[in-house]
Amino acid sequence: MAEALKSVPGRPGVAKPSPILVVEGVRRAFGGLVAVDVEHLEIQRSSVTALIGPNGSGKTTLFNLLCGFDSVDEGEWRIFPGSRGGGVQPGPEAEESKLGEVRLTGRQSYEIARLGMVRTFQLTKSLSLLSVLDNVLLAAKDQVGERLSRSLGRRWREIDERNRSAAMEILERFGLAHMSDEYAGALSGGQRKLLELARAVMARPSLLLLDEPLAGVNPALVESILEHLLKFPAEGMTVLFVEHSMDMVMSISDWVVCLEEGSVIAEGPPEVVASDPLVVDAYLGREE
Amino acid sequence: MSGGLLSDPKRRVLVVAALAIMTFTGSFGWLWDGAALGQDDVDGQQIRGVMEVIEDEERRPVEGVEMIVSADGVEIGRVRSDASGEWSVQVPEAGTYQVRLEVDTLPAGVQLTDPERVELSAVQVREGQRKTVRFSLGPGFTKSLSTLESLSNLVVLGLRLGAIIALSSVGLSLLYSISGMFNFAHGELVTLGAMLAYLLSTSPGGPQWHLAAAVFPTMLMAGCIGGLMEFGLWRPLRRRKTGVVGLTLVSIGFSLFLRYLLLLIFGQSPKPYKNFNIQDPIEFLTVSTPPKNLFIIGLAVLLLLGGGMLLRYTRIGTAIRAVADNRELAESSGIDVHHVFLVTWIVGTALTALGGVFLGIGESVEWDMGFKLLLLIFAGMVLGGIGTTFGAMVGGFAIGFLVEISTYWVDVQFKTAIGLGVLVLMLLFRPQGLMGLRGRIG
Amino acid sequence: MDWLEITVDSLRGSVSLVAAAYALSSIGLNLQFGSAGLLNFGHVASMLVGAYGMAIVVDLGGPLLLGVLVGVAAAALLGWLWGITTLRLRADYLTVVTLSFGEILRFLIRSNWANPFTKSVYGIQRFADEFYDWNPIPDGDYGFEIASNPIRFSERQLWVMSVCWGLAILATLLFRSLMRSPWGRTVKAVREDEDAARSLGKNVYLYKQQALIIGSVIGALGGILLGIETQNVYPDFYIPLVTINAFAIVILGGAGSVWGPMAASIIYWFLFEWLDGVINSAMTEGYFGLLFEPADSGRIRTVLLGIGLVCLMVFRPQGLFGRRREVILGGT
Repeated sequence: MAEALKSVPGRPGVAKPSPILVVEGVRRAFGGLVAVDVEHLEIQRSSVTALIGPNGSGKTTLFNLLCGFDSVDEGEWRIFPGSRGGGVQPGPEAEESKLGEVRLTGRQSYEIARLGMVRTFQLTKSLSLLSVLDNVLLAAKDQVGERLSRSLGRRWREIDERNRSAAMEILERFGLAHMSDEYAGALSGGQRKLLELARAVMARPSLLLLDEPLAGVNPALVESILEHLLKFPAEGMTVLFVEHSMDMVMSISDWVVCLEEGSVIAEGPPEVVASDPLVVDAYLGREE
Repeated sequence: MSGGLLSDPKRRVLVVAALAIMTFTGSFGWLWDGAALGQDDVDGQQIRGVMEVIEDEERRPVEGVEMIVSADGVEIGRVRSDASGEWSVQVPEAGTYQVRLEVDTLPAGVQLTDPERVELSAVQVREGQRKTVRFSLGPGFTKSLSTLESLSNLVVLGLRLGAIIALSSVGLSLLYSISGMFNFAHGELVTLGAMLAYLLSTSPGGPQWHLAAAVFPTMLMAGCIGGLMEFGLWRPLRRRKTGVVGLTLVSIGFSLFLRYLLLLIFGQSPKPYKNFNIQDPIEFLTVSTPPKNLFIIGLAVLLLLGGGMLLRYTRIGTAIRAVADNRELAESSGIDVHHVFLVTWIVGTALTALGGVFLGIGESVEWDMGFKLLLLIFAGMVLGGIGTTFGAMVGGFAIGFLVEISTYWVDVQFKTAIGLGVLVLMLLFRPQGLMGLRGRIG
Repeated sequence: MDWLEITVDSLRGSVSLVAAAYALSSIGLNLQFGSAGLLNFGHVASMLVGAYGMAIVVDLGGPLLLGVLVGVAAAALLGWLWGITTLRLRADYLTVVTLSFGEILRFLIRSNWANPFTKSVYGIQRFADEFYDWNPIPDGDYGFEIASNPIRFSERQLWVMSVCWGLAILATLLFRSLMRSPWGRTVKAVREDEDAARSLGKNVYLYKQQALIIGSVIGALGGILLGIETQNVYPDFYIPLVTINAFAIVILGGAGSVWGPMAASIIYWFLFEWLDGVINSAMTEGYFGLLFEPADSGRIRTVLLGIGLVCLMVFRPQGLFGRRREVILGGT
């Protein structure tokens, strides 16, 4: 579906042929400072979209807002999980999602995650005193044993057994299988980034929001993370990621959105955005 | 300080802890009156009682009634009943005493039910006895208690308690904002202040200064102790990257240690200071109050304003606020965080100690006075908005005021419960506090 | 000073009902604090509502079992109340609110106003006769001697001890199964990092709330058995110091460890009795001279408890049995 983007003109707020996420008029101010003010933004399904912008342009705040970790002053956003993401739990949300659209405005962060929009954090949040394997198992969505009422039953053991092989497969892919019994706290910084990615993948999201997945990772690992990123769309996961380095963005993204002072000042294919005078200004203007 | 003995943080904790224990038990015990060390008078015999009006099965304590105890016409001591109506006088030996109630000090609307019984002329006290005597009080027949009068007296008491809470909460609130830790040993710093002043002014084994002269040295000593604690305990713990949960638990243990140590040294019974104990009330409008209350309120307000100015306009004040706002950022922009902690500890402990002295003047000095106050200090912090020092001051005033005023309608025994009830309601309906920002409650 | 006698007495204390009740109660705190990372400084309130719930029901003429149920239900309600007042706020509010709740409750049952139900400061006595009627152990004196120093218990003591240690073992097994289940994994994740748990779709609030309620109920059982043993509940037993004892036990055993609370309670009460014995006999033999009076022995012990807790946190935060790198309390 990323091919469909080829015919989309690069201008802020442009409509996409098959959006998975639609953001409308989302605003958040801290005191007098407007941190995020996005008029309209659509993310194309099964694409890798980069979110760029200078420091303090509101990228992480936008992530926090979209995922329910912070509350908006105004605005609303919807997700269209579609059939491919396996993340939808049974319940009223699923009813809604059959119609192809779930309103996320005002929902709790955990609900949003269950609806198929899973994020990672700029400062890695590995659960240090859980084993690497447990970290990944935690993300599995069908584990009924997480309910108190069923935690003493037997059913969860079968589910865990099944999830364990899935988790080991994912760990294998991310090169962490040999450390599956270690505490996550024992991993290196880069390995924690990988573990966080593995965990997010285990949750089988339809939309994956990655906050600087490459920050602080040693160059040898960067290659492998990028490879994984590129494979995600084919597995039914749309990727939206924050990144500073333009080189990295150019090489892997299908579409680039540039934020400046909380607003979208440019979007389009990477090479177009990179040469956009507004973007160049935003980056250069901030440099010392 | 480069010696091997103090270079290892673990060892330094030990050394300073040992020093602190020795200083406390050693110098305190040495200077203290022989009495407190378990001998004759302080934990010895006393005459005590409760001044209260019983009306429709409701007990209302009467504060500020003066009692004079004498033996064969020689005055042994005089005290006033405290906020809960209680009073007690230590007497030197077993024997017969006279106890007289100073009728003039009865507040408007309160009278002896038997006006003849103004003096008990033969009160027998046995060795070590805590003899309770009783004056029967009732609502007055001549002067009736006007709502306005009793409420306005409560307003003064409320402002006094509020001032004490506000003063004591500054240190706790500042420390919380820079370290994220509730110091549960803070109440003991209140007690410590009150006891240091007792040691300097009233204790027979001490220098017997006038209390007014003892206030500044008390603050100085308390400040040093605060600095010592930061240097010997909290700083090494921070260096070891002990988390907030760990620090809070350390503070709980430390609070227990200090509280019971002070109990061992000071003894269980409450004792008043020798100065400012009894004063003739001054009257204006509908208020009748001993002048010390007005002094406490006035001084506390001045100090709080001064403290606020320091925080706002001085370099160190700015540094403290910067660390409170974002420690990493402050650190990376060249602020010496350890220095900020040290100054906060010294100033905070000194102010808290002053709060303790005021509390001791208002009521009396007791081993768990600070712990009792701590809960109200917390309530004040939550009311004002946790993490905002200005909010803590305002909240402290408000909570002190509220709980005292509430005693007009509600039994005094619920005083603390009412303060805590306000805390819980506040958390339910406006968790960010009166002055706080919503963003801070995360 | 008769060291052997003191030591044997302390051994007796270490398996007594008090140790058993604290072990049981600490398992509840361990679930809240060790597993879920909730700093509950009002754990004593769980014990209070459990014991008073039972005593009041029996005092009003109800059967003991109903009383126990009421006590347990009250404890669950208390856990829920803690949750709704604080869990949506920053974590540190919990310490202040739980401490305050405990004191509010103590003030309330102490007040004249509650007198018809709680008998104010006098407390309620003799409410557990029914429990002793169920005692299957024949009358007698059970135990043995170590070098002519007896460790003996009456059939009554033995009965209540067996029930309490039995419950403690059951609670430990429950704790173990819970923590090994996916529920326990999620609770641990919540302790480690709330945001990470949220980002994986976990309802953090719900898990904390559940941990608070279960912990409070287990804590209440400890309080109930303590009440049954003494046949006496009175408000001034339930002071914050009780919570600190429980914390000392949890940390000594290693926060979050399965058998920690039981083992640590035995060790803790051994030390407690031993210190008591040593201080008391030092006092009667005049080692302290005029420095202390007899009433001071408990105070000295509390001072030592305070120092001990600080030292434990500073030098061995992982407790006696924990491993350093697994320490829940360390790090930032």
